[in-house]
Amino acid sequence: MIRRILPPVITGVLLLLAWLALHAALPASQQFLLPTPVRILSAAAARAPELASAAAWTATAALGGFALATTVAISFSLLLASSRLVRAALYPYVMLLQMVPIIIIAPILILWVGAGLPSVIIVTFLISFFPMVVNNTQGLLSADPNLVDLFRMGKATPWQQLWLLRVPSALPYFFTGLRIAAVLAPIGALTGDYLVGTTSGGNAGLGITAMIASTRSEIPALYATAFIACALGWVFVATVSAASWAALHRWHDSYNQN
Amino acid sequence: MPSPVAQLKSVTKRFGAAPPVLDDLSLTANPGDFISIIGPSGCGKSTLLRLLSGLTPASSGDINVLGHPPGETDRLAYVFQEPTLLPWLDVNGNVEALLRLRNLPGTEITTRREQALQLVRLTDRAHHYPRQLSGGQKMRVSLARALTLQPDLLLLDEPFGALDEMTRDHLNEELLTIRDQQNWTAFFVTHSVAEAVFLSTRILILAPHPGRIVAEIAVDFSHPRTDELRRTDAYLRLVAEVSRQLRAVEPANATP
Amino acid sequence: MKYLPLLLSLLALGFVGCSQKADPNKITVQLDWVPEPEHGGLFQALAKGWFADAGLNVELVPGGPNAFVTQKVATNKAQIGQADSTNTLLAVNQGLPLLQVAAVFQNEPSVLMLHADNPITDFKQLDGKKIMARPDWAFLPYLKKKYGIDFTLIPFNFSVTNFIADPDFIQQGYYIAEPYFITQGGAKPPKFLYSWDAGFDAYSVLAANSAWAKENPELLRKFIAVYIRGWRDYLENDPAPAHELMKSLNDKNTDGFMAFCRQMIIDEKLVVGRDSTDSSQIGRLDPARYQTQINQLEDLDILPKGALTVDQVMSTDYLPAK
Repeated sequence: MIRRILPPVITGVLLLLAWLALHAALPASQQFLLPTPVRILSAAAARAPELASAAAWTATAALGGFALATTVAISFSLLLASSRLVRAALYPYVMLLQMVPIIIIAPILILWVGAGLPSVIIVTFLISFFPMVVNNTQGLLSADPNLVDLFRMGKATPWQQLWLLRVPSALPYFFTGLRIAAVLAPIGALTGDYLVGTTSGGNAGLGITAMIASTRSEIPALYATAFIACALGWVFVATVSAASWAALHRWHDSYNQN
Repeated sequence: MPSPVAQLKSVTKRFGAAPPVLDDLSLTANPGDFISIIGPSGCGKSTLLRLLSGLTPASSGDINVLGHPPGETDRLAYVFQEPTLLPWLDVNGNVEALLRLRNLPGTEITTRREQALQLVRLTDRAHHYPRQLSGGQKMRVSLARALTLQPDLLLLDEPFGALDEMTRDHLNEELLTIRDQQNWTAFFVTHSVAEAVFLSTRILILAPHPGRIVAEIAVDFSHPRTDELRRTDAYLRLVAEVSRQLRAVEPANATP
Repeated sequence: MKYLPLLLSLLALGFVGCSQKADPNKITVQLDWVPEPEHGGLFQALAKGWFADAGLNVELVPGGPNAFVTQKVATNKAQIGQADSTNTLLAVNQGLPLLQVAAVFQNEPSVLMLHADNPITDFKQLDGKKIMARPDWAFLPYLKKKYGIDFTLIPFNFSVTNFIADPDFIQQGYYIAEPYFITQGGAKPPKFLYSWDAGFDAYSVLAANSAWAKENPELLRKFIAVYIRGWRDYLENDPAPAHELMKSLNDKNTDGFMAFCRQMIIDEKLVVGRDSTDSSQIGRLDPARYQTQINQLEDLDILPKGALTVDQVMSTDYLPAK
């Protein structure tokens, strides 16, 4: 146990010391570039309610976009995997849509949907959707051909083949896509907040909070938002990793038996 | 004379415009036959099994399996070259997978599963996942899965080819023990002459280009057969004889 | 491991080292935006060679949406930057070594822009509306507090697309430039709500790195004198030298656009001062107005009470004697 806990703790302490040393090495007039952890913590404490509501708002947007992307990606990949014809007709456009930069979509979203949570969710959706669709479709199509023969032999209905063979075969791919999306969703929510978010009654997300801190040169607060964003991303990834472990560890080779 | 289990009349199978893989092949399997099919690569051994199972349609000729066209009987089971297990199901789940596809009642499924697991002696591994099993154990699960269908005709496509010799010998004996308790007819594709002689009642030697039957050898050793048989002169002589005939059909310049 | 202190000191040296420069008379000026007539005075002086005549080696660095003017000046990557007085003042409270030394515009020309036929005529009517603006603009919380209103803010995306498309749209605008694009885009000229009418009166300023300013007071005085001369010449005489130079750096600077902006700057008396009758106010900063701003920001809890004094954020020492 100690062997597992000690190395990251030591790394953490060393990083902290390096940070402080770097801070001390800077001339006084430049120390604002790298505020001490204490200053960051006190900046975070001083605006705790604001940061908490911003984090909650961004988490809501990230979760909303992530859930939407997961649902749509699952349905869409089932459609894509259903026939070669559908795939040939739709796949190029899926790829093309992926290329549209969010920064160009932003003004269009504000025109059509209006700035606010729905638009931020759409931005999050757009950012996290594609890796999932690509992975899910690939997974559904990659069932072992011998197993496909087995199911044909067993006179499986198309429905049985889908649920008992293709969907379980796709699970490892699904979780790979989900993990990428879990990294992207909080980033999407932050970017979306910045581009198509709003503030009303103090309901700003982390993106707008960071933007304000940046222009007002509130560097400790900026670092604080960065750490909160990291923590949010970590929660997303950790949750997906746990779900992936629960679904795959008993049988999939990516989880070693020992 | 009982009605045949499987009958092929002038069956030809070709893929596209290429020369036929099987040409004008006729064959009758009677109840209780254990027919080994042996021959060089490309002689159409596996294709023959796929035709019987209905996985592939014949190009011409007639095939009758248990009184039906191929693919229309549910008294047929297939054991693949690979164990072909679903990695996300444990041994229980894999053994009953084909029964679930048939939507049988739950109690029926459990009964047949337990019987099959006992036959292959894997009851104590019921909750293991495929990756926790050895190659031989995986193959036994695959066999058990086929047996749950209570087949009258069992098609085995080189099922023990990837196993070491000891394991293979043991599984051969187990397979015969099971056969003695049940009454299925078998087609068994193999590359091993010793295995074919040990298991079979009839051995068919196929030649390639195009695939055809060039010799049929009857194996009359009595049942039950045990490991002792492998050390008898009659067995060794027959192995030598089959090997000689097999060598005769191999392409002259074939490299091993 | 034993290299760690060495590595760290190298890193720290790098931080400091990259801001050292060879030519003691070199002055880098970080602009807040791409070269446009709001930088007319600087470009006129540069184009006419007056900085060089004064022995100054001046470089004007174009900005944009991510110019980070205050940060660049604070780290001495630029010695002087053009910025708004409010955010520069707040940066000082965060420990950035900045000193506001001269005015660009006597009134920071960020205003609220409305369509001509929008029925809103005063700030109170903004209650419940949607406004696109920079979220950091202290004028917004000021409005909410002063008039007891609330509105929804959409982060500014530096474009007038949404404004042109939506007749109810209200957005922050740099009112010497945006009206040009809006009329070009087919809409009627917009109307404005000016922040100074609400009592929020910021400057556009030149801010200097405070350490550099203290070490080079004469250099800075020379620079500001030439800068003021540049503005006066740009506004009163032929602006062609500045315009040609700006055109070469930013091809969106059409003659029509630059003439429009310059005329706005003249008509609105942004550089000379709204109450002035001559050009004597160019560049002037008023400490009393800074005190008002500090008080306002303290009232809004954007600035802690007593955190800053006027002397910390601005100085009139480098302006020419009256």
